[in-house]
Amino acid sequence: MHTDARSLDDHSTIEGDICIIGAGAAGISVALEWILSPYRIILLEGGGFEYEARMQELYRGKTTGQPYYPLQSARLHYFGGTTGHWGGMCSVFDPVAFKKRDWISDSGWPFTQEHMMPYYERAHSNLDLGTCDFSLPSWQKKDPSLVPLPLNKNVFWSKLWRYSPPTRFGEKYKDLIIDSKNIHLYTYANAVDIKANDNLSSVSEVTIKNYTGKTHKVIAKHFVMACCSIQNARLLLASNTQAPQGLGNDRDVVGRYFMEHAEVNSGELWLNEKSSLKLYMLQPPKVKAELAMTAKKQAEFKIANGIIGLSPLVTARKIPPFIKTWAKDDPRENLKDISAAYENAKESKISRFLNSKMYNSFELVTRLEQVPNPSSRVTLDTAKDELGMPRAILNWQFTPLEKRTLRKIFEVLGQEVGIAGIGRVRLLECLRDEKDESMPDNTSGGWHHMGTTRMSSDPHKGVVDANCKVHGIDNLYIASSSCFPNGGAVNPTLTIVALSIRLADHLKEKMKFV
Amino acid sequence: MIMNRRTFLIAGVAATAAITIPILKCRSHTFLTDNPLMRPLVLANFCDAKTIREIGDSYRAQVPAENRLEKLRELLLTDEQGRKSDAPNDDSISEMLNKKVNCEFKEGKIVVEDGWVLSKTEARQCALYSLEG
Repeated sequence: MHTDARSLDDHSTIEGDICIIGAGAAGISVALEWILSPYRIILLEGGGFEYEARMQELYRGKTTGQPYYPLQSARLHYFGGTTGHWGGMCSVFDPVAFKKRDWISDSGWPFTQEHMMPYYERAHSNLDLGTCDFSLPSWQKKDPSLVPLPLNKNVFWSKLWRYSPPTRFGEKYKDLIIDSKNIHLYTYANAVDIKANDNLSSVSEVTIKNYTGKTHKVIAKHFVMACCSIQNARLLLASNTQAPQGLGNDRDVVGRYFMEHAEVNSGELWLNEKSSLKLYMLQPPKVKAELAMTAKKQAEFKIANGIIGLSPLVTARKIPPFIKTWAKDDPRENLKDISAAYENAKESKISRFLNSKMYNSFELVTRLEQVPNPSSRVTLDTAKDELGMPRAILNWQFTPLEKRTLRKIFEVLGQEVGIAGIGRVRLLECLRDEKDESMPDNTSGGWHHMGTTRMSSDPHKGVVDANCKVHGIDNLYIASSSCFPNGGAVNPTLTIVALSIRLADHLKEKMKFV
Repeated sequence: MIMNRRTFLIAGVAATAAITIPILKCRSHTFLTDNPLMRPLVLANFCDAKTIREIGDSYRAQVPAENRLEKLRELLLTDEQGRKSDAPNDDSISEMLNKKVNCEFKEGKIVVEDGWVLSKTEARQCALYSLEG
């Protein structure tokens, strides 16, 4: 069922069993788990079904620290969320991402990758990924020409990606949600405040607003915040009428540990012989590999994780880093600029004919794990948006470990390529000075916002527990990459969906719906 | 099959390029030097003389103690066991250097010069080239 909240009488009350705040990949995935259940599920979406500049404007905020994209262009604010323009690259987090690593402060999830695998498998269906198969030998049986670089497997391995079509949640699930008898979708329902009972142990209602000036409230037994990392933190911090520091923020953790994947043009691979490196070049709908350092070597060097994508240098060197291209307020314009950059970089027909997809030089771009850092954070501005909510300030900060990781990965890759006798690696200028701990100017983000309401069994280190329940509040949960204690080195969408399904299972158990 | 004008022109340009590019590439590699002490074999596959010289300049600046022809020759002609090589000709010197390069990569005796991750021996070959080449 669907209701446009603008059409409701002012000060309406909406009631349900579960209220899900946010209808992106996470919120929709939680809602889908309840279709045909006897429970009334309220799904709140701030925007409508299409892009609207006025809705995006609500996401405007400031950025400090490491340069970042304009915040209002970094997420989409309508039904389906940022899946409205995502690329579809999916992979599972490596086992090491879940582990406590002594050399990385605040690392580790409260469970293992093994625990997550059944949820990853179920998430494949939501994302139209086919079978959950990330095994190179398995794919090589289907296509023996998928040959990895001959590097020592104890040092580097070829990590596989799968491609979602990409599934646009807004398009794929709109009818299913609207036709559902028990899922009640409210569009133009922006959550602006969360109210709790007197001792702040339970959420009683959520206030929603829209541009009509109307205010409504939602009452439910359980509340699931399913916004992005910045908006989840913003909403908790702004819910400060009862708790001055913000709801769930007794220990000043909300908003902290913001993480992204630093995407850095880091080096070049020069081969003695031309090669297609087909395994690393494949495009949708198949698989594609990137080079990843083994967990054992990461431990030996006491570094974070990072994986390296390869693309022919002849075209890649003409493409400016995203941080330079994605500079406008309108994400659609930014997408056009990026498409134009790729179009301009395309090989000429003659060059394509001569090269026949065989190259001897490749650009190496690292997708780097950002280590948990409490100083990298989202706070509230004094400026407010049109609905009266304080705007967000993002202070994106790295530690020296990320830069050391980048350099070490490339030194070791250079060594392994030398041992293999296949060519040489060249580090880009930004990695050459060992003493320079700053991240390079060309550092881009992957538009992967993580952290800010991280998961930890220790309330001093996390906002939610292992079940994604906000510490100290009985009925408030979070489904989002904001719960990730660390972000690994792969795109988060598959893990967001898997974690959301896991949360839905937990709620089913709690509500005796199994 | 009749070739249209556009296909003909593309094929013509491609054919010319196919002949010309290997010649240009060949030139850029052969003009380096044939002296194995100054010819890092792998780098010579894709680096021109200018790049080799820059790597050599960078190494000599980093390691001033080796910033002499005699010193570099002596170090290059010492095999991986630390013995002075008695290689009688260029081919055997080349073979000895190649072994050294492989050993150094395995043992982690690598340097980063001008961004290139190289074995120490390769860096010295570039250094010698930058002094003498």
